[in-house]
Amino acid sequence: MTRPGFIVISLLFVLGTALDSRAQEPTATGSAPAVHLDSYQVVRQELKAPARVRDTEGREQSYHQVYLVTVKGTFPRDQGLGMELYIGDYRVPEYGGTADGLYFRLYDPKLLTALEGKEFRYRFARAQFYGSGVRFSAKKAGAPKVAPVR
Amino acid sequence: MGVYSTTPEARQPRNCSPQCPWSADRHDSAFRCGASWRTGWSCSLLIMIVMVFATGCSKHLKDPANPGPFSVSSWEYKPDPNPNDPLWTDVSAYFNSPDFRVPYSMNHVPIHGIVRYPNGPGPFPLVLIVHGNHDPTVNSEQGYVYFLELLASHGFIAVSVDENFLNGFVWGEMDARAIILLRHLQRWRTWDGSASYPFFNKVDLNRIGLAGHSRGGEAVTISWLFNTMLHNPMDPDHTFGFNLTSLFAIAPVDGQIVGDTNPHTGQPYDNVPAVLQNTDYFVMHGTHDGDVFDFEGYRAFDRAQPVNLSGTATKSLLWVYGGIHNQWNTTWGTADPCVVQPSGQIITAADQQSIGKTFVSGFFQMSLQHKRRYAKLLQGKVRFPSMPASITLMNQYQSEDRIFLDDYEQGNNLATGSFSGVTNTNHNNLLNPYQWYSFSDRGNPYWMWEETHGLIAGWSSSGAEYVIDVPPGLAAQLKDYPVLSLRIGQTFESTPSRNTPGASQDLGVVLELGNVTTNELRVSDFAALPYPAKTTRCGWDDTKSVLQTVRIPLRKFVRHHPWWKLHHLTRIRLKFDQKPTGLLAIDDIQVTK
Repeated sequence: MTRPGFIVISLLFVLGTALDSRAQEPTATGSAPAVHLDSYQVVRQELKAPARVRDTEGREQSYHQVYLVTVKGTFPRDQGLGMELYIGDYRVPEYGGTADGLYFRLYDPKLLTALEGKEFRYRFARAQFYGSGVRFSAKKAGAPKVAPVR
Repeated sequence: MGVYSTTPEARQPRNCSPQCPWSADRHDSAFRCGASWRTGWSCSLLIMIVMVFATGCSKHLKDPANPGPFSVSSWEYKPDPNPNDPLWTDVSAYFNSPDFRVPYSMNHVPIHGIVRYPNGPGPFPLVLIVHGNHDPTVNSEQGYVYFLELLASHGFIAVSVDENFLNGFVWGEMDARAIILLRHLQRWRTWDGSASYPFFNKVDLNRIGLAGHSRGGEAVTISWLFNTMLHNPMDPDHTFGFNLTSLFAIAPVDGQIVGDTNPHTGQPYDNVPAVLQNTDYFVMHGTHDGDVFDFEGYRAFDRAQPVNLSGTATKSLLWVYGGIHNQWNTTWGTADPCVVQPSGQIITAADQQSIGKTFVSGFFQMSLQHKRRYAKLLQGKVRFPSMPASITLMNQYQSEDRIFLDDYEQGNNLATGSFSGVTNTNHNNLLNPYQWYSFSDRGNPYWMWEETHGLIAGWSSSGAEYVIDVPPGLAAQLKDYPVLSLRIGQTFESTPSRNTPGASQDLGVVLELGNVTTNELRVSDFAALPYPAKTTRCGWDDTKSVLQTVRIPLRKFVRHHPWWKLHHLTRIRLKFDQKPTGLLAIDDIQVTK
């Protein structure tokens, strides 16, 4: 999803078996399709045109940059049943698929701060939540640098 | 203007003759027919009779899965490369995270539909069908051509809408799916209103129906929301105001709109309940659905036509034993993402699609063409050859004209009914459990997957009764509400105790008319109460206890007794004396039309 000129503010976090999504077992009903989060990265992109999006306090703002979050892993794809993705209690309002996972955008920098250290969670059919064992962080990457061209 | 390919495919009707091969309600001789009409002369004669006599053969139901009288032509519309073609549209405000396999930007997506339409002057009612989520490289809209051709032969302009650009591994696109449907309708309104288009004055915009499968099944509901409650007259793109009178949901999802934000208001959709009113609503779903395993359309059905509002439209539900998710679409294959066990009970795609044709056609003929006699199909009162007898079907139906005696939505006081003056009694306390219950446990103890409340009643004594005392104010209205209706069904038991796996359940009903006690009628004479289909999905038990609407014409109680008067009704007694033990879920006891 990255393009030339984008700034990486968080590197790839490769996650081991300790982050296996099976840490929380489903209950006897409302079983979850197989999900496993392997890694994620956060990339800041400069926007060609400002985006009008509401901030964390509900006010419409004009943003000139966006934080693109890409998550690699195993997910049920192309189904009617939807997977709701959360970071902590924040519900990712929309995402799309990549070849090896999914991506979504965060606009409000304050949201990055609020989500720091929160766990990626998910659920299906508004049933019970499952923890991924993976925690979101935009700080761990160190200084920004130019993203590789893909 | 975009590309319009018209390929006349004149098809002569194969079945103009009104054969009546179904097995009708055995108690209702008015719906029996043994006649067979094989010649054109016979057909013509019958048509004349129908025209002359409003009754009689007007009650003869044709199998709606058979082609209708119209020859059918094909059409397709899609944008040309010109970016200003009005068949390009922008949904990026609603959704802007397409799957990587989608070749479009969300600010430039096609309004593309394939059409089957009847040859004739019209105007014809319009039905849009939309697919659900799937591999975006698959042309999912092609999977409902079998519906289009059937509907067109019955006098509908039928369109299958391409929303493949919203497909894939995506979330948060439900509002965009709905908006696309309305953008199609906007084009149809333009085409109907301008002499420069071939459909000028051929579309009956007062009779519009939407059908959707899977995520498309919720999209039709959200389209209805945008068209009514969420309508924004200040937005030039929101010139909706369509007369959406009929919604048909095929294995729909429900609630995916929640959490998304309406870009026009900035408000989350959480606060806008998808509670359908003023539009006929139908849901069908299979016991072996290996995708939308939790029968989400059941919740939309429960919310539709709410009990606290006067009825203005019908709602219906079909529960198909052995039906799966993908087989409703002919391009999605014959296996779901997870195969529900026991897989040996899964019905063939041909059978499933035949059932689908029956109900798609019957529903829209009833709702959009006002052939109200097809309500018998939705009530489960008739069975056509297109519905294989070996396949168990459960039906729920609620008329727009109803008075609730017990809807169980006023709280947990079972003694007080929904209609003023109605009281309920557990006679001699022999019902056990006798429990007001939220029908949403999704597992033990009752395996209910609904969004409503009702009564759980169990018995192990033939003396057990549920007694409903009725005030004179209700009895006086029975002339206009001549049918006793209730939703009732066996509950699954992890360890069988009260109900017998594989066996149907039964009970009796009697009325007290002042000093008169009528003969007892058996529920099983009006509808079967089959044992729930035990199913497991990906190793997890997802069995569902699903109810059946039982409709008993009140005149059946007083037949042969002309001096018994229904307006003397004082009491309705459900007698649990047909089986030695049982465990039932009961809801929506009403008198109705």
